[in-house]
Amino acid sequence: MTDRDPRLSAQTLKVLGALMSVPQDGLSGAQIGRETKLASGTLYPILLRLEQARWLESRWEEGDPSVLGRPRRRFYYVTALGVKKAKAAYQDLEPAFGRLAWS
Amino acid sequence: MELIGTIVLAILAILGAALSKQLTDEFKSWTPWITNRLILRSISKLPEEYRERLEEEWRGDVEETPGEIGKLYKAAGFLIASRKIVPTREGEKILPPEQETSFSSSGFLPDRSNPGCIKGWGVVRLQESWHLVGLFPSKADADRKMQSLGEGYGVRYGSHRMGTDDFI
Repeated sequence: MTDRDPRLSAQTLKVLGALMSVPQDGLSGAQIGRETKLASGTLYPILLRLEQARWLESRWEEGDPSVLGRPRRRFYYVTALGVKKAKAAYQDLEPAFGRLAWS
Repeated sequence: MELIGTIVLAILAILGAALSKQLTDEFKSWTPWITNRLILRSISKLPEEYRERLEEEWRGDVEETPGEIGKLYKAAGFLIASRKIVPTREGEKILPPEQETSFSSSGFLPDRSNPGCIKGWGVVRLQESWHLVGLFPSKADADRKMQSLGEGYGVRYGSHRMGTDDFI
């Protein structure tokens, strides 16, 4: 792990776990919040830190807000680098937490 | 005496119920305004580069949240989030790699043989189409950036024309 890697707290691992369970579809911030039960005050700083470290990518949903009738959602996806780093982190934790379904 | 007490209690109960309904209605009519104020306050606390994006994203998030209290709670959370979100570090703008050109003109030596160019350590994408990801004054910074990007990137020393992604 380099000195620019994000700090891997339990909450960060929850976020990565939620995104790794749907690697292709991606999840919006609200969906990640529901999955992880993290409050928005904790969730968004984690998402932006992971994105800065390139463990995550995010994209706006397709469509115009005026047509959708609501603000666009921004979907987060875990990158190959994120998967690699998260798996390494989980492997380090495996003796404490047991084997994970997606690892 | 007992009868008077019962009547007073009944009147108080009716007044309490009416007041409670009034307070609920007031709360319902004020919560969208309070939620909006909280979002605007949160956005104003964010680093400039995130404001536009997170305003839309957070409004969308609130929209997805059921119940007035839920929306209020979420918006209050944004206020906490905005204090924790820090600006991107130099050379780490969160744009897709193909759009990214993250350069700083400070700390670099001018390239005397090429006016308008500076010398530095470039992080380049080697696979697929060649792309200059960023330019750094020190090799250590460039190496760190390269490692954060994973495989398929390299570090080269060269000359960069400012305002472009030219790097030779």
